This record gives sequence, C-alpha cells and structure tokens, in this order.
Amino acid sequence: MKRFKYFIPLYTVLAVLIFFGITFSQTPSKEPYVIGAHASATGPGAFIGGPMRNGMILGAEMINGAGGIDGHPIKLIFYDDGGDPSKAVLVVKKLVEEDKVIAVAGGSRSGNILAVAPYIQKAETPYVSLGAATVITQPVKKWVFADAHTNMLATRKIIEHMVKNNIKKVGFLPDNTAYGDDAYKSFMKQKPDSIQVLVHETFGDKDTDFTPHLTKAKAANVDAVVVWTVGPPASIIMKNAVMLGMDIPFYHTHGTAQLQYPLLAGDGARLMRMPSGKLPVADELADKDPQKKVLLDFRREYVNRFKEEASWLGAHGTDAIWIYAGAIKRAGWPPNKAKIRNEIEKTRNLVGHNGVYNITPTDHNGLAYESMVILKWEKGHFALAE
Amino acid sequence: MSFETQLLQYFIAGLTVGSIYAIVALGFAMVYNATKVINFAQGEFVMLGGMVTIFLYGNLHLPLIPSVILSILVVTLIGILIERFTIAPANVGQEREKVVVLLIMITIGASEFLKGAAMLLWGKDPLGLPTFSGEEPIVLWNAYFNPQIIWVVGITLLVVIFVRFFLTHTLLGKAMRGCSDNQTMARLMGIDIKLMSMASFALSAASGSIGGIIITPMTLMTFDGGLMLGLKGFCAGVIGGFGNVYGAIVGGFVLGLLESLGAGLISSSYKDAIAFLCLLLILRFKPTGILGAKTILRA
Repeated sequence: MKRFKYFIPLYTVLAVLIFFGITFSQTPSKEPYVIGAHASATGPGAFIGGPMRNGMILGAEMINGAGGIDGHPIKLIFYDDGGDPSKAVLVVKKLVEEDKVIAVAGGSRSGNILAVAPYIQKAETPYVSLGAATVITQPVKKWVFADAHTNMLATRKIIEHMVKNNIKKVGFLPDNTAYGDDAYKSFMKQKPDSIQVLVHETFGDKDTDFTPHLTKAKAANVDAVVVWTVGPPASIIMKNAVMLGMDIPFYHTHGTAQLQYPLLAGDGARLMRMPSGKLPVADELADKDPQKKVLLDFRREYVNRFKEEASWLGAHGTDAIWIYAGAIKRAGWPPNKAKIRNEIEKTRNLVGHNGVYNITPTDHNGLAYESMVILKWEKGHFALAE
Repeated sequence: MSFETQLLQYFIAGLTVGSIYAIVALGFAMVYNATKVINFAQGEFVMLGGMVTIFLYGNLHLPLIPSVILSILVVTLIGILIERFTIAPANVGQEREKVVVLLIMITIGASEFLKGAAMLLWGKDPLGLPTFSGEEPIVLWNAYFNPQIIWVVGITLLVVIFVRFFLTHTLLGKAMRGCSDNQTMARLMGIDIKLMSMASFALSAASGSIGGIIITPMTLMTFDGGLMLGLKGFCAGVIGGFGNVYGAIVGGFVLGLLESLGAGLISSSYKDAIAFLCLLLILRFKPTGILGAKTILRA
C-alpha cells in the first residue's frame, strides 16, 4: 500500500492508549509492597518447601484479590534455596540488596533460617520465617519471627499425649541437623521424670537404612519412638520398623503431617503419630472454633489454585503473608522496615491457619500449644489420635 | 533382644546396603577398565533404573516384570547415548592420558544433566515400588528382615556371576579385558576400541539400573539418590581394589558391613565417618585396595 503518512503517529497513540488502559484496568492500582520470599522447594525438605512456597503465593493472591493493602498490591518475589543454608543466605541477600524488598517471608528449613538470621539482623529487615526450631525465636532476635509451631510446642504436645497413654520408655531418633537437635533438647527440657529416653541415635537426612537405629530401640524395649526429620527418612523408618516387627507408636515432627509421609510409609503409616495444626481435621472441629472457617476457606482456595491436596504446612506461608499484611497496613505507606517490625509485635488475635497469633516483643512466635492436635493415619486419611 | 540377635540384625543390614555398593563399584570397574575413565554418572544409572521402573509400573501401569526389563533396556540405552555423545567425541585422535581428566569431568557434567532431567520429569519427591515378595518380614533366630533383602543380595551375586562369565567366556568380554590390559596391543589385534568403550558403558548402565530396581522397594528413590550411591560405590571400589571385578564385590560388602556395624555398635552419628576413615586407612596402607587393582580379573 502507499505510504500512509499518519502511520507512525497513529500507531503510537494506539499503543499509548492500550498501555494506559492495561495499567489502569489492573486492580489494585497503586505502587506495590515488594515482599521477598524463599523456601526449599527442592532438596530433602521439598515436601514442605513446595507447599510453603504455594502458601505464600496464595496468601499474596488472596490479599491482592481483595484489593491489596489499602489499594497497594503485594508483589512477591520468590527464590528457591534448595535446602542448602549457604544458598539460603545468598538468595536472601539478593532479595534485600538487589530486589530491595521491604520484608522477607520464608525459610522452610530451620537450618537455613538460622543461617539467614545473622544477615537479616544486620540488614535490619523484618523476617517472618516458617521454621519450627525453638532457637529461632528463643532468645528473641529483634528482626526474626517464626509463625510455625516451635519444636518446644510440638514436643510439649507429644509429651502430653505420651503421659495420657502411659508411655514411660522412649527412643529418640533425631536427624543430624539443627532441627533434629533442637527437638531433642526441647523434649529433654520439658519431659516429666516418668518418661525416660533410653536410646538416643542420630541419622543423616539422606540415609536410606535405619535398621541399626531401630534395632537398638527394639533391644531397649521402648514403649514409643520419637523420630524427628522431614524428608524421605521419616517414611523409610516406618517401613523398616514394620519389617522389624515393631508395633509401638512412632511420634514424628509436625512437619510430617502431610500426605506423602504416611502414603510412602506403606504399612508403617498406622504407627505414626504427629502433632499438627488443625487443618487436616478441620471438618471435625467445633463450629465455634474461630479457625474452622479460615481453614475450610484455605483448603478450598488452595485446591483450586494448585490442584493438589491443601497442606497445613503450606498454610505457614499464608500466615506469614497475613502477619505482614496486618503489620504493613497498620504501619502505612510509604513502607518503612522499622515501623513494620514494630507493628508485627502488636499483632493481636490474628486468626491464622496455624492458630491464633498474639505476637509480642518477648514472643516472636505468637502461638499457644493448644492450637495443635495429635494425628494418626487411618484408612487413607488423617484422624485425631486419642 | 540378645546381643547375638542385634549383631545378626546389623550384619544383614550391612549385607543389603553392601550389595548396592558392590553393584555400583562393579559399574565403575567395568567402565574404568575399558576406558580408564571414572564414570561419575554411575550413581545416576542406579537412580534411573529405579525411576524409570517406577514410571513404567506406577504411571503407565505395566506389570512389574515388563517394567523391570524395559527399564533396564532404557537405562542401557541412556548409558550408550551418554558414551556416544560425551565420551566418544572427546576421545577422537587424542592420547588417552591427556584426555582422561577431561573425560572424567564430562561424566560429572553428564551426572548433573541426568539428575536435572530426572528432577524435571519426576519431581523432587521420593517415589517407591512394591516389594517383590510381600511385606511380611522373615524371622531368623529372632532377627527380622525384609524379604526384599534376599532379592538384593541374590540378584547382586547373579550379576557378578554373569559379568565374570561374560568377561571370561564371551568374545566381547575377552576383548574388553584385552583392551584394559594393553590398549595399543588390543588395537593391533583388531579390537575396536570405540566398541569396547560403548560396550562397557552399556554393561555398567545395565548393572547399575538393576541395582536401582532392587533397592527402590526398600529405600525409595529420589532424583538425587544417585549422588550418595555413586560416592559410596566409588569408595567401595577403592577399598576393594579399583577396577577389579572381585574387588568391587569385596569392597562393597566391606563398606556396607563397616557402616552397619559401626552404626549399630558404636554410634549411628559416626556411621559415614567410620566408613570414610576405613577408606583413608586403605589408601594409606594399601592404596591398591584389598584385592589390588592391577587387572580386571585374575582369570
């Protein structure tokens, strides 16, 4: 065709109109709050890190779908740390220094969180982590929080269940990471004198055979075994236990209250007892429990969005975003790291998925152990263990 | 549980894990002998054996035996392809000594590639297979063991016998031994070195995949399971005498038993440390390994 002399200006105007149309048609339309996130979506803790990543993404989307924080959307930048502490520090550095985030959520493995903590303190950036090691929040570090039930709470719940079931002699098999060690110390600190730990053996989180460890426990005639690891060993140990003819309860970390573990444990699943948040048994909760509606909503949204079973561990990620959303809203625009941090410590009665949060300057976790239950695996699904 | 029973329990555990180390070490031995290359992707062949079988059996719902056979063939093919596309091109027209280090690094690259591909295809979760003969433990003198263990040890021994037979009674096997003894002479005798290289990879991939298939019912398999297996198998090979077929077996069982007995009698925290300590002692006092690494087979 002949050269249309208004070709360029016309198309420029059109492009500009389209561009502004798209920009303004997106809600919310104000500048975003940029929040960084990391988790171990690959590596030995991937069972948990993957859902935690999903939970954080879902948390941000749920808030953005409801109009953001006073109209400002949350922009979530996520990096996988592969389960490795040094990589975790690297990606968090990247989030703070290159992506200029105002806060970091995540860290699905206690070892990684503890590695990041010194850096985040120096960088004076709020860090709501998803790990359960008690030492993450005790002693309190100014910028570090954790929204997971700590090992202290979980072991306390286990001890309560053991006492109720008359268990006196125990074998303790933690993995050789900070997480396992922290649980052992928490257990020893809280156990009554009626419970004795006769066997204490550690194992590597990539090991594949545990018959030596279980043989020792069996030889000591324990009434129950506590296993503290997340990753394949949690299931393999159960298979080994059944093969050794053991028929005692095996208490696990709350991190194993997720489908894959009992499914892979085969016949051994019936011996597993795990403390957990209330999501897996949300249907069995009383209607007046404020968590019931939140949990059922989460389950529905999660399944819709990710087409997989809703994991209560994933909900840790969502809770972290909700804690931030509340604090950021109270702190106001423009985002200020110190203000946000102060507001996190004023979180009161936030009905989350793990429990009801009451975060204070001396309690950077905010959960009570009553928000946990003990689960068992029965006929292909989780149920409350008496 | 009496001490003798405990000991028996540890012993059985050691034999089981030792068999796998033996198979991996065998794979290292075969490739090393034909090509002087240490194939660090050996652990991945074991992993793939397990993963491909899981895919065929679990996802495509083929019955177990065809899944196993098809899986061995697939992994053998992968081994041949790795050799053809990574080792063979680097080998052309070069003095062997100069390229060996390069080739070893290439195998490390191949190992990472296979690991990454496995992660993309099968995800990061561990996957399992059913045990071949049921879930009831066998009880022997009060020690309990998984019937799968019989499969593991039994099949390992069968693989070893087959490899020995192959190396001593078949033309291809004898040609491989000739190639490992003296490559120049072998070439003069009309042995196709390139074929030997490919055949050794095929054989080690096949045996590695068999190893993966037999342990997956007990230990589950993850996309990165090959790493530790390859490492431990390599140590087993060094302990027994690197490149020696019998040495691979001896080294595998020695390492397996040391690990289990160490974990059971001393402390499970030091399990790996004990095994590697023995490796260091062997390297210090008898670097050629228990049986010596001189020849592939003292036939």
